[in-house]
Amino acid sequence: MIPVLSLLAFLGLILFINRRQLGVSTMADYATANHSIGVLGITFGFLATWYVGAGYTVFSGFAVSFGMIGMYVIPYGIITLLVMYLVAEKTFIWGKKYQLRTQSELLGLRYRSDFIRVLTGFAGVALSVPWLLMEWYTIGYVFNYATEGFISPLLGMIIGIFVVVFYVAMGGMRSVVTANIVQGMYMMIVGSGVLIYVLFTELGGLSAAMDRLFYESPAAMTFPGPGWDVSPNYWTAIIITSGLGGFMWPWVYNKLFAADSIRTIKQSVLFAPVLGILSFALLFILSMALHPLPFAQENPEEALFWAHSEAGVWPLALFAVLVMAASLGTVSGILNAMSTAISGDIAQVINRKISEKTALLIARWTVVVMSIGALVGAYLKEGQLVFLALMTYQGMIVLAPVVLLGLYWQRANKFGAVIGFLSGMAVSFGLTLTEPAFIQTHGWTPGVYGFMTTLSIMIVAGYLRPVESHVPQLWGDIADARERAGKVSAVRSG
Amino acid sequence: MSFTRPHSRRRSALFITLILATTFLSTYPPVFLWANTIEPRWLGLPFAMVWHIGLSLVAAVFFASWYLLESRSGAMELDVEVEKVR
Repeated sequence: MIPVLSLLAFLGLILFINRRQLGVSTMADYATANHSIGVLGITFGFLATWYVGAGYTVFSGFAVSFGMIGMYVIPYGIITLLVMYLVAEKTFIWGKKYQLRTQSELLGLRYRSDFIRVLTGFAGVALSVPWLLMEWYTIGYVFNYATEGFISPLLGMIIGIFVVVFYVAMGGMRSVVTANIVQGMYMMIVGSGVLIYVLFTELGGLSAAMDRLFYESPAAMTFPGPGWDVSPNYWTAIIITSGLGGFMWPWVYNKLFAADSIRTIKQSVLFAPVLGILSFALLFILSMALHPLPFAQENPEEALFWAHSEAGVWPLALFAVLVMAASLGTVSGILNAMSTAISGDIAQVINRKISEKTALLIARWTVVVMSIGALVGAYLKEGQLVFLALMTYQGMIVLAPVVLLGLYWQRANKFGAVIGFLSGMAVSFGLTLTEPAFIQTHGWTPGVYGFMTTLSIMIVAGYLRPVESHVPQLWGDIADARERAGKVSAVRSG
Repeated sequence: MSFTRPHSRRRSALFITLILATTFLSTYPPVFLWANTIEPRWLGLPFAMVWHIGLSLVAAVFFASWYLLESRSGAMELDVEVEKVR
């Protein structure tokens, strides 16, 4: 009873703190909160969106089964944050000057191409679907486990959907970020506390847990882990793929447009690595420490829930809320980004006559329709969700050259971007689906080949054509903003 | 061109290089395989884990230093004129 009451109380808290955010009346406010979010919102917005609920089931299960390899998340996080730091300035300047709302709109502006805008908008929505399904399923699973089967996964999903759809559709980005602050703070403070509690009460503390692992399964303490023979290139590949792809998700990237200043974004990069490293390390250390236990080995994805239930009803309740917080944070970000993309990047581009009021209505109904569709998908396709979700990273990394070269290289042009993106996707998903022998032998994941294809085509196309006529103006915007910053700084320093 | 630009570019290049160096040490197979050992352990953790966590914390220090230097130079005071294109 305590776990389910805790879950319901947390959902109630999310609705309560959002009660004043539900009156969003313009599309700009819905999509970007009118560029008004401060450092607390952006930091926890990134963390809550980034941490998926499946991290405590599927990905922790990976660490339970294979040990140290789960730590790939930490170096990959550093690459992602570097990408965020690098794209922040230009995204912020162009975003504010041209009132941009989404990553696809930014790319449409940079390459002066509606086709790129629609293409990347569609790709972002399509590649996000498996994550939405997986997170819905996780929410249902949390309810089911926490109530010992009393609440079915389907009913659990419906309860979760009701809450998330309500606050995302009514409050947009403002509600998403407000909820993210609560979710993120819970994850960092209460979540880390309960993980440490279980590590000490159930496993005798860090040293004792690691000693047991050392004596019973030392292979789990190094790459690639027990019973797995894979090239060391695989380690490099998953870090690069995830690191470059990690910040390309529209539901993560779009939060840049919500920031109130460049200082806010860069401060959040400052806080996020430390918070992320500490909590990810804690999660994976606990998961690794469970490796020697027979139940955990047989049920790796259930291992963390099991360990917390062994520690008592309160640790289980707090852990269930932790997973729920992570899932809600991701789901709300995905729904907000998907609805903004479908309304702004697809509907409003196909039909320019759609007013801002109608666009907002489309976005809100998109949240409802996508949620119901995802509910059905999650319920029917549960067994394939993890595979599909992991596969999407092989597509997302292909977007990285389009974004990074677009922001940093004036010669990058729309022909290279379109052909490179489509070719890279074809290579990446072609290799993923056909699984040729060299993928296994060399250890490089399909996304790396797709990334190299896109990068090569864009560079060749960049040198084959002159710099596009609109590009100097965009670079001039950046120079103007920096010039003003220099003058302001000079005045302040006397 | 702003008077802060050449200095700012050198600073950015330096920190990008330093942060990428930590990533290189975490991912380049020969280096990564060298660190992929259990001993010496610290607080029971294998050296492989300490290596990656340690490098990530070093990267976090580089991020902090980069931010502080940018902040002091005024690079955060960006002023953008809104242009209505809709």
